[in-house]
Amino acid sequence: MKYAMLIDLRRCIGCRACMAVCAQENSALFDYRSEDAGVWLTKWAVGELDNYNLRILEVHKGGVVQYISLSCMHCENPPCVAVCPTGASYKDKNGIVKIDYQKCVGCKACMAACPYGARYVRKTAKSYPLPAPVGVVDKCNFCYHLVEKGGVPRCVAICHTRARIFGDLDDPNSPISQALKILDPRSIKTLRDDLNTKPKVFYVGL
Amino acid sequence: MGTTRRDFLKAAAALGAIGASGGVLLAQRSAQSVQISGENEKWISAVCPFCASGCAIQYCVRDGRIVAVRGDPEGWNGGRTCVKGASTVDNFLPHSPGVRTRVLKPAIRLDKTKRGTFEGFREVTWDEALQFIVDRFKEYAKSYAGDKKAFGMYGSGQSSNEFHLLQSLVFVIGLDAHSDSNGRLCQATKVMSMVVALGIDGPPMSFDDVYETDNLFIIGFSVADTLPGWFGKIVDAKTRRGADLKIVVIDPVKVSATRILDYETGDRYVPIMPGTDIALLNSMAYVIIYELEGVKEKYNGDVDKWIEDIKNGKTKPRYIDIEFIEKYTNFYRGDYKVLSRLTREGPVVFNEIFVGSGLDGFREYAKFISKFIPEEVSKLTKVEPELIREIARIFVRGRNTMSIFLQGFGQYSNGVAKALTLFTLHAITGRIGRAGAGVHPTVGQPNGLGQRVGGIVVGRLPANRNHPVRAHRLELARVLSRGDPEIEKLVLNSIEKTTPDGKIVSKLGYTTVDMIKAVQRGEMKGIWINCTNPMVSFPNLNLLVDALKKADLVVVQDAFWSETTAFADVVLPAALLSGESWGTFFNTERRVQLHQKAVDPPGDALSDVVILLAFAYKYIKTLEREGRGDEVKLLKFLLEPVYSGFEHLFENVQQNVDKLRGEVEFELNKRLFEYLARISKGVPSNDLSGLTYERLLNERDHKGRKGFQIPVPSPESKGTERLYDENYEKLYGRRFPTPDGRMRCFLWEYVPPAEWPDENYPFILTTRRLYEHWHTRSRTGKCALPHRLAPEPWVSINPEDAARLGIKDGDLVEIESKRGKIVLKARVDVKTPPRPGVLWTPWAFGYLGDMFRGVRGDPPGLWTANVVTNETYDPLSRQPELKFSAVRIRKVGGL
Repeated sequence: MKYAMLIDLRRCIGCRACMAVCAQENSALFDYRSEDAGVWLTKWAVGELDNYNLRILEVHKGGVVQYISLSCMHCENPPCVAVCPTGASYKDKNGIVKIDYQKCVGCKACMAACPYGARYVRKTAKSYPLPAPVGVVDKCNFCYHLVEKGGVPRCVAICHTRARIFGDLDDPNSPISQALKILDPRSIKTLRDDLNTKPKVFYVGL
Repeated sequence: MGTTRRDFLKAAAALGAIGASGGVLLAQRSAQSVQISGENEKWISAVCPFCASGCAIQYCVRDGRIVAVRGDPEGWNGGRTCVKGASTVDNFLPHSPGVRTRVLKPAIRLDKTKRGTFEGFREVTWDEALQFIVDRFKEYAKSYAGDKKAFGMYGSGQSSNEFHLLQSLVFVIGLDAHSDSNGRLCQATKVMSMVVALGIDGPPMSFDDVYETDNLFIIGFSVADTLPGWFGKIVDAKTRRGADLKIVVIDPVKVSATRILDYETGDRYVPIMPGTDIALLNSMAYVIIYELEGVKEKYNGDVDKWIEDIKNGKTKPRYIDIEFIEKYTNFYRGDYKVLSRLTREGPVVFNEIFVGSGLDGFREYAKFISKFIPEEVSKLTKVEPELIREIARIFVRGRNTMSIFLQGFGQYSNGVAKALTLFTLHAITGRIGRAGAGVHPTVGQPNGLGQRVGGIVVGRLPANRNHPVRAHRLELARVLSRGDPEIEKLVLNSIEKTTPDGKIVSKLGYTTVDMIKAVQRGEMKGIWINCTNPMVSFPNLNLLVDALKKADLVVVQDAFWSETTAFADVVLPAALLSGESWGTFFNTERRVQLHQKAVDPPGDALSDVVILLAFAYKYIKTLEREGRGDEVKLLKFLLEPVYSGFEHLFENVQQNVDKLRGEVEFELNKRLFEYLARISKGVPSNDLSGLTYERLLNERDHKGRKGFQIPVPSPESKGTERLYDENYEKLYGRRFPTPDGRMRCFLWEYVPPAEWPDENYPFILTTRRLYEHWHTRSRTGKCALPHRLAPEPWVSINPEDAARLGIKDGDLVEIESKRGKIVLKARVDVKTPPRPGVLWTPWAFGYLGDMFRGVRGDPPGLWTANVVTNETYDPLSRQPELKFSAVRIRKVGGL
């Protein structure tokens, strides 16, 4: 299996529901299930906490704003995996780039290597979806705890304008394979092609 | 009906395991429905508490606490929500501002000089607080304010249908007192335009109509920000259909919805001068009749000759729908003086302004429209004549045109006239009453339609009956009295009266603005404000501050210590509806959906329904004790079927808080819903007699979605997707629920807004909703991401005006109208700029300011938009002109 995501920027209106729901599902900023969740929430609200698995970049083009969703690209040639000294960053059999929190020593080599700024050091511990302590590196993992049970990432499910499509590239009947089939190949782009990272997050309308 | 809450929960859990199937995009939806959460966690279905899209959501509950939220995969929204819905969980996290600012115990404050502060409250028991209100209201009941007793409730479009019915039974009917709601600020104009044009209040279309229409006109409606759920469908439709779906946005502000316009293929943004829509719409009719149909060229403007030729079959119009006009329309002269008497005197007033039926009426309309030449209209609307012609051509392009509007019509003193002009344009072109064709007046509030169906707003009666129509009053009295002639008489006594000259007219309470003015005059003694925050949302806030300081008694029932609670003598802690209570909501496509209770509220908070029933019970008991039993006979008759068997719990509410939150609360709500369903039988467009809680939980509509679109007139009915079409005619025997089955069309002269810019106040200030915040921010102001995205208000100014005035981004400016002034940061807006001469500011921000940092000002607030706005209202709908104030702008500080 080879999981991938396609983001149709023509549909994205910058509503950021994906950001909100991603923060919850992955406990990116803090653990929503912890006793002091509201304290961390306040730190986030006032700007003292800023870690996201998924961010929205606003690009102004002559009065028109384009919203570009940025997260881990789950590269086929992930530079982060190549530089990880402990093997904490790895690519699993489904093509998802993951972090083994037990092995991560927080050296930040992967953060330096990632051309997409997708990684951050956790300022808080989390209990869900998997436990992780303070100080480890974290990032988007395609919500694989949902995907492996037959679901889709939360950001895909929440999107009102249906700007995101997710699925298995090896399965010709998956939503993403179907979508890639009907789209003009020239309209499908990835970020920083020049680096030969081969991202598996595709953009339409970039 | 032996179903218990436990059975319901079991059934709900079973349903959660069933997935849907479908095409590419639907496959993603079904995948979501099999998602699970953490250990010992369950998902409970509810409805998003924010806008009138009414997205079905689910709360993730762990150890009695809400820890996450998601869209309900089986809802019409297919598991999707906006950032507000996704952030509702923030209000439940321990130690969050949303939790810290909850009202936990009933509180009383005797020192009236402390009003406007949060000081001097004393925590009391439920019984002491309720008895305190009873002891005052029973004295106020001895005098009148207008036609009704000198007290009442100012309610909300954010309470449940069950509560709305109860509010109406208690205040409007049982106690013959006042009742209106914040819907007056929000949707009264839409309601009245539907009542006048179509015969009853029932929004005709569905969200999915945007997939069927050829042309979508979005007028005075920031749909992307206000109803993001629906806008998602519009984006989807536009992306799929491209140039086949033309979109025209008419708005003084280049609202965010314009970002999906494709100007190259013909979509248009029309930067209209605020308040001038009547002239623009009439001018579109001019272009269609005189230019596109050739009445000017071919007939030299002779309408009589043209109509004669049509009748003789010598010519056949291409765009004017002669068949529809002849069969389904009457024409009337637009006259506010006459129409403003409609609510009291009834439809008989239409006789005074009748112009003609069918083609005869249309002939007069066509003559009337002859002066709305684009070149003339352009001077007023500031819309280029060519652009008027272009959008008129788009309007009649293809077969189906759909118009949606919101507060750009609603919050104007000429709002009903605008809406009726739009309905007329659709009628004469036959673009109405089919999939994708028609006008859909939208509401903003999550249960906007519910407050009308409940009957809490002046002009509507339970089951959304027309108060002004005597037959509706008699029918209501009949169904409420269950065969008791004495009760029937008492009900009628509360809703109609005989004038000195022998006419029987509607007996009406004060509408919102008049209610507050009556409080200010001391005529109305007591006001009970429920689930709304007028200290941010009311027009001309200095007026409200004065009124609430002068009131004899102010009760505020709320979940949070809001801006308004600072003015209360009694504060009652309410449970949130979404997440903490049972109840149903209508969204703006008439879909009724069920909130299941996920968790208990904090402190001693109780759900709205329980609070009002406990009050009513104590009121009845007290008056019976004092030998005034006759006064509460009707109230007791109306409510006994609701609370029977639970009286003992209301004797000591405080002791029974836990019990009143359990199965009892569920049972009370279920009974109220059955009550509403029963009395709605046969009411056109509003019949939900085929619905039960069981059906709402276990069944799906004809598209497999949760909830049902009313009318649902039988247990077999799967709901009604569209009103006033061929199916409707089959069901009701009439195309429109007017006496003769014809739609009412209007000849409206241009009516100006209440004030107009002059040399002292040269700018127009309009207010807008923000995408990030819901109404007065009492919840979203405490949600982290919405707060980060929009932490404080600003005033948007057109770059041309800013350059002329020397105002830069971030400068502090003072905005002043005849009513007050505010100070805000200026935003030289390139993203959503107002047209030149217009400023806009969000109205969500009250004096509580930054609710994460706890930075607050004094009431009504230095930056609170509604300090400036105008309480003058539409003579028919009584909805105030919140969207148009003549102001001046002055730089008071720079960066």
